[in-house]
Amino acid sequence: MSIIDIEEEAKTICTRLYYGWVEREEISSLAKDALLYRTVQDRLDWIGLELIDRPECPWYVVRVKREHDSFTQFRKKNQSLKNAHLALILILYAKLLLPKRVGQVNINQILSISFEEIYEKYGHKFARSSKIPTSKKRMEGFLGVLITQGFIIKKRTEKIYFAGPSMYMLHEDLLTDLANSSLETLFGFGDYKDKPIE
Amino acid sequence: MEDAGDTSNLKQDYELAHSDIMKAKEIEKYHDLFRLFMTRDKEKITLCLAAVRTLARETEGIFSREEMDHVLSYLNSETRTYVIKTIVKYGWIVSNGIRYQFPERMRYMMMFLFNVFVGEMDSFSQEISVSLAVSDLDEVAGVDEDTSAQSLQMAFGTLRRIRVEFQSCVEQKSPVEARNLLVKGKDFHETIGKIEDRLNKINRNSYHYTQTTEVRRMLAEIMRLSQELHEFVQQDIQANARSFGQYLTPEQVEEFLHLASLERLAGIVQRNFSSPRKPHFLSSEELYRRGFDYLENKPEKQELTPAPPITEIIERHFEEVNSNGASDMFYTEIMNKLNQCSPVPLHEMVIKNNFGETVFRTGLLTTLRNELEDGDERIFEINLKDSILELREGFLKSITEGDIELFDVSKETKK
Repeated sequence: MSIIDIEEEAKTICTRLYYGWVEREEISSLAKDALLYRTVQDRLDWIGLELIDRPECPWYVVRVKREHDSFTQFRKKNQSLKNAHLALILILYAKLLLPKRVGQVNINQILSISFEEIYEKYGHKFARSSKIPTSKKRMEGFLGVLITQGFIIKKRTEKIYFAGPSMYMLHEDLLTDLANSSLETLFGFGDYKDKPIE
Repeated sequence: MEDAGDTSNLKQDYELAHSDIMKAKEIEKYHDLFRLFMTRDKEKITLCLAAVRTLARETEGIFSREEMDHVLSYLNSETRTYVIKTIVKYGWIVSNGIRYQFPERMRYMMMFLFNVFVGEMDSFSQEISVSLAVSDLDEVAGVDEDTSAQSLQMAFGTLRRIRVEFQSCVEQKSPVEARNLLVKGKDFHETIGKIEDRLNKINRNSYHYTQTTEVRRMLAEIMRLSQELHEFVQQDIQANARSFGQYLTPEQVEEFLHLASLERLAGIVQRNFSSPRKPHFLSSEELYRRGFDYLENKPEKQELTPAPPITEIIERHFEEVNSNGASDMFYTEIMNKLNQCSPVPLHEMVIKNNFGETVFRTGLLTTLRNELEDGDERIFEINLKDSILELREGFLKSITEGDIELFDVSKETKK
């Protein structure tokens, strides 16, 4: 493959990535050709995008670099994402992606979660008030928003959810943040800052 | 201690493979330290302790003599009576005449004896509270100063041991050790607060007070070490995502998800949020063009399709044809009809479904005939008969019958 060919190929791949995510099998040439991979990465780098290529991710996904991305800007355009949705994203992240990333589960295994499990375990968190329990419809509404934003993928016939491409776009620091705050809650990390001993 | 009954029975019981007796045997080497009973007989003390342990384990705090007999049925009946007598005498269990009961202090004592020395405790906070209970016991019992100091030393020894554990872990930097310590030191900070309270209660004039400064120093050091350990764990997780699994099991993560508030969970995601990109379902050419423009840094705008080339349109002169007028068109129509068949019935030519049109055509026909007669060109003739034609359709019910005929030149010449 000559350099001109690579340029052309890279251009098509970049275009496809810019307007969404692409399955790994569809552009298998990217994995084989290191020079092509490098070119694509450079191209995306110029315009402030990052190519996410994680072994557990079945897609090639692109995300805006952290310094150019801002949550407030996104919120302005998409009013649908509320705090409850974000919390639900974290819960699903911990269920669907974290075990793979941490190495507790084999990478090739496909993790899924059923609607019943989400509803029973975490439904009470999303109640409108402490007196009214969360209805199934409300929970489905939350999940529906996440599906349209691409955070999860629903199996067509059953109420079973898989991790979507947007889930892979979340920054890696989420893992350490989650670890820190859970250690804080479970083992009293950071308590000593409040109560110093002479 | 009184007469011990049959020694052979005692021996037999001592050799039993009961779990409590085995446990009691493990702390035989500390008997000198405690002087729990007046006797120095190793076997008797062991059996007493084993019995107390069984009672503490298998009863619910208050029990009758029968229940006691039932629980201690693994001992020989003579030994049993002797053991019960001894532990009642030395205050291990208290009787109110009918029922027996453990004083609270004794429970702590038992926990301390069997847990601190034999096997490890689940958490540091438990260990510390047990140690404190022991020193408390000494104070209440009013033992002499040497013994008191000794047991206090032991209580502080627990703290010292904890400190050493933390130290070695921080030095070794092994995740497994760190994880164990994390689990053990779960409510550590709360317990240290309790110790502080206890230290404040101690009388300033008493012997114990002199040692409080040392304890405080030790506690501060342990706190510092635990802080170091926490920092190490945090750095380790940051450096390597895989080590996350060594510190936190999925169950613990789930527990956190349950405990934490919605806002806190949302905050974590918000800090690491990346705007999702929706896929656009565009044609491949459109995608290529858009992507190319984007990569070339061109402003994105809709490209219009090019206008078709200008072609010359030949103008036609419709006006000339139209200028002939209605009467001319009517004339050609009549002539066409007459050329096909000579006498044409009048109603075929004139009557249409529309009333206005019929009137118009009739008028046209009369004017046309007058005009042609004026110019001496008699081309067609209208023969009218005075009879009435009835029509089934249309607006007109009746009309004068007649027909139009080509003007025959031969007829005129005959006339």
